[in-house]
Amino acid sequence: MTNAISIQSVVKRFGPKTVLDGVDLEIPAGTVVGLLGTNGSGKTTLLKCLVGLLRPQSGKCEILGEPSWDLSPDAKARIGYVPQVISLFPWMTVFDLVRYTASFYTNWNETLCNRLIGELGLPMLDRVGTLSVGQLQKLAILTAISHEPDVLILDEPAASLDPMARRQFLQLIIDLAEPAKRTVLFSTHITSDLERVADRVAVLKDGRVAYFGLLEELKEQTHLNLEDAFLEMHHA
Amino acid sequence: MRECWTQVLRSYWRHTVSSWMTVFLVVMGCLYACIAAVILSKAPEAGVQMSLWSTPILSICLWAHVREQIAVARRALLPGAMPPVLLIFLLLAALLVFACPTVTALYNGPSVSGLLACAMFFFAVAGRWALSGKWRWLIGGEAVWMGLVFGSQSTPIASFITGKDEPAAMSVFVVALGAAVLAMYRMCRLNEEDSSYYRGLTDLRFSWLRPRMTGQTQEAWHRQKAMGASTWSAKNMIIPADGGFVSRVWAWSRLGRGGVFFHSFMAGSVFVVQFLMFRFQPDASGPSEMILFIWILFMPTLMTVAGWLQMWTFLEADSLRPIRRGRFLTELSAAIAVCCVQAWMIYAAAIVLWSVVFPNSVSRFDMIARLAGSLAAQLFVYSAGLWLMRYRAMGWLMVVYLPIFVVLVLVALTANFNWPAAIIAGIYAALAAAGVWIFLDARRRWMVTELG
Repeated sequence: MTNAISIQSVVKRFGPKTVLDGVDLEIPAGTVVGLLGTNGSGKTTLLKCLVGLLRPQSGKCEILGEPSWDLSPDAKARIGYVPQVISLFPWMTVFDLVRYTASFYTNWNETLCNRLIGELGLPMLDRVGTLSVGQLQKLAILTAISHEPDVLILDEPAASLDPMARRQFLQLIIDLAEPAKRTVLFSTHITSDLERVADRVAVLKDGRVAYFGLLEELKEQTHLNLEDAFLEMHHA
Repeated sequence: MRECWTQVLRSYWRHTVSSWMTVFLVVMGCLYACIAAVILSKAPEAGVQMSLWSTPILSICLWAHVREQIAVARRALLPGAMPPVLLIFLLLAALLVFACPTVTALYNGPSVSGLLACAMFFFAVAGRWALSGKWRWLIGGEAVWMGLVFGSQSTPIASFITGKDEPAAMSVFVVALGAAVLAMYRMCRLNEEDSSYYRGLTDLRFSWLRPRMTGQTQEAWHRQKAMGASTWSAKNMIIPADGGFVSRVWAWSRLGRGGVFFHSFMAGSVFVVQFLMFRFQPDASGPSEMILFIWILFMPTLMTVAGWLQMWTFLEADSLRPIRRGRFLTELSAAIAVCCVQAWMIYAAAIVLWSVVFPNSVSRFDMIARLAGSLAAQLFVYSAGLWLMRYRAMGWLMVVYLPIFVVLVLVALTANFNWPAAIIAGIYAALAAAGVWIFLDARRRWMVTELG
């Protein structure tokens, strides 16, 4: 199985502070991986390095076989990304923003987009600036997956969603990932979400990957549920 | 209590509460440097005009700033915060409303009390506006203020600016001072709840972002959610995926389309003001042209770049669209250039219109030469702006633009010193060449700049 995401010895510093200290992670295509870590453990930095928004001081990040810093348009068209903090043009209406985003992609799936708009209940005529945080997150998810990306990178995507929307979103990820064998990497604090969707888990601690493997294997090894296993790993 | 003073005064430096202080200080520095340069050149009357016009701009910034300092949640946590805020406000207000008009009047001849009355009148209007957050106070107040300023030139409405009606000037000054004090008194009674439904300035708020690579960038960068009025885009924005370079650049430039309306308004205002001034004072054509040319030298690109700077928060996501990094940056820089040229053309049209309305005021050769010079200066300001935009910090942009602004004003004034045309052309050519060099360097640096 080829790797959709490859991270090798990545080091990222902000001034004197080392956030990532030699991260290694190889994610095979078609897997759903949950990235766990405490606050400030470097999850967002890692994901930003992965999509090419940040440049590591050393090491290598690759998606779909291409270096993250200089992705080709073809590779970018196959990647979807939902950032932790969502900044979308506030003066645009939801309708305008969806159309604006769609215009970048030749592989935009209008049918999927329209279906999601209905399911997520987005107010199409409202301005983006007036949306709640949860609605904004839904909109960001919509624009990240409507071009049916092969690799989906989500930075705490369900953090601001209400329970119903969160369940809906997780189901969406399953529906999207499983049949087409898409690769999904998402960071989260909510271990129950991760257990529901992910088949592998990566735990980030002190700027390194402390564990990466099958979720079931972790539970079997530790004889604990995911949350307790994570806490034990963190205190170790 | 001592801790309150320290915390409040530190916030002025760190801009943690209100970023309007940055704008105030930078604009004040620019304008006063300019006024000093103009007064020392052969166009002292332009100094009076600039002094008059600096008061409204600076009053707005200062009152907006003090409002943000007072109506803020931390007041509840810091009970002794008011006195240091008031002290700073009073010192700056004294500098703005008393010191500057007095010095200008002493050097240029008009009545001290006349200039003080004009300054204090608008200061009071700005105070009322900041208190209520209603724009009608500003619009109405400015109309009356213009009546005071221009009416004083030739009509008996208020002929105090030239010292012909001192009692009237003093009356206006005293009444305006009372209104300003009342506005300040009422503002002191605001609390943190008043900050939430205050809509007067939120769209125009500048953001002070820390320089990058400090580890705190993300929070600072994402703090800004509102956009300036000059950056509202046209509706139905579409960036054609399969479009050519030109069509995509044109499409990107629509993100800054709001600038067209903003610059049209500004150019129209400057033109009308100069027109009125010139009508009442035919011998003031020199200063009027000078102000128009100084304006076009700097303002189009400054405002355009400042507007686009606010866009970066949102463009982060767009950098991940199916497009090469280099191409994305090239398209955006070209789009910014398109917006700069559009803005420049609006001001150039105002100057051409000026030469049509007043054919004897400026020779055609002079006008074309100055417009060409201003275009060369735009290249320099644009390149410097692109270079600085990497820091995505309005404060840095403004601070570095200040000396550039002073240099450009001095360059513009060379025409007044009757220097040979070849030397003036050489200066502009050097500016353009420096602009090209800075642009290339900026591009090289942008290619390795993180967009996240």
